[in-house]
Amino acid sequence: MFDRIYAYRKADKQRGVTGETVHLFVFRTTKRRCIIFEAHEFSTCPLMVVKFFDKAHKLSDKRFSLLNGSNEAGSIIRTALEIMLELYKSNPFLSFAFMGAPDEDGDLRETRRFRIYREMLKRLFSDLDFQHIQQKEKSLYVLLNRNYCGTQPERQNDIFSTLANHYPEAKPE
Amino acid sequence: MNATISVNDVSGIVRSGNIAVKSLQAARSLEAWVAAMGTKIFTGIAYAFTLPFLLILWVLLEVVVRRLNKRRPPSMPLHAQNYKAFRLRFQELTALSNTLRPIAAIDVSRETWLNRMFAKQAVKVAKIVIQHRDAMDGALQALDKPYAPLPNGWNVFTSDKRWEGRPTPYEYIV
Repeated sequence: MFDRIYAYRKADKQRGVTGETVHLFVFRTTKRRCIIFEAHEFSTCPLMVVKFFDKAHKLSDKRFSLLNGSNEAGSIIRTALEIMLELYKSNPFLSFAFMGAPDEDGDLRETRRFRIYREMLKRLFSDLDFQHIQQKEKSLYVLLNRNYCGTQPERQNDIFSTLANHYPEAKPE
Repeated sequence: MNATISVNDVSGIVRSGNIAVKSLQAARSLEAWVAAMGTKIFTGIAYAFTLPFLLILWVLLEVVVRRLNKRRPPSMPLHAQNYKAFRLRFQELTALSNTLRPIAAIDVSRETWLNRMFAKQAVKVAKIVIQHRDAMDGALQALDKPYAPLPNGWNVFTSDKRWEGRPTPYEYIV
C-alpha cells in the first residue's frame, strides 16, 4: 500500500501569503488524478510546511479537505514523503511540519488525515534524524531536525514561532 | 549520547543470559533432588554423584560471565541502518531482564553452600545483562527529550509509542 511512488516533477516556485517561498511539485496517479504538492519554505528558519491537494480542487477554499475518491491515498502520501526526502537531501537542516486537514465537520482534533500521516511516519521515519512532535488538539505534526536543533536548542523556538505565524491554530492559547 | 553496547553484541548477551538462567535452574533442581534423597549417608553419595555435573555448570557460568565482560564496546553505533535491529534487540533484552531481575536480587550469603557458587555467577550475569539493557534504554530515552520546553499543547511522540504496534514489513527510509 505504501510502496508505490509516483513520478513527480518540480513545477514552479511562488511567493506565499506570509512571504514564504512555495515550491510546487506535481505528480499524476495511476487513475490520472493530478496532485499538487506544496512545500512552504520560510526565510527565518529551515522549516518546510508541506501540503498537497488534487488539482481539480485547486480553486476551492477547502482544497485540503476535499476527497477525490480515487482510493490512492497510500501512494499519494508515500510520494509526498519521497518529495520531502528529496528536499531533506538538498538541505540536511530542514525540519518539516504539516496539518491533518479536517473533514466537512471542521473538527480539528486528531483528524482522519492526521492519524493516517502519523501512521505513515511511524512506519517510515525513525527517531534518529528527526524528533517527532505533535499537537493532537489541532492535528499538527512537526518533524524537528536533530542536526539543526540538537546543537542550539533555542532554534526549536524559532521553528515553533514561525509555524505559529503560518498556522494561527498552532499559537499557544 | 553515551551508552556501552552495540547491536551485534546483544544477541550474545541474550543467549548468555538464557544460559545463566537455565544453569541456575538446573543447579537448584539438582540440589533439590539431592536433598530429597533422605538420609545423610545417602545424601553424601548423591552429592558425590552430582558433583561432576555441578562443576560443569559452574564452568559454563564462568565462561558466560567472562564472555559478557568482554562484550563491552566503548560506544554505541545507533544509526538509521541499525535502528530497527536495535529496537528488536532491546525488546528481547527487556524480556530477558524481567526474567533476570529476581536473580539479580538474590542474597548469595543466604544460599546453601553448594548453590552459593552458582548463585554468585548467576547474579553477576544478571547484573551485566540488566546494565546493558539499561544502557540501551538510556540511549532511547535520550531521543525523546525535547531540546527546549515545548509550547503549550505540543508533546513529543515518544519513540516507545511509535514503536508499539508498528507493522514489521516496513523499513525505515530515514
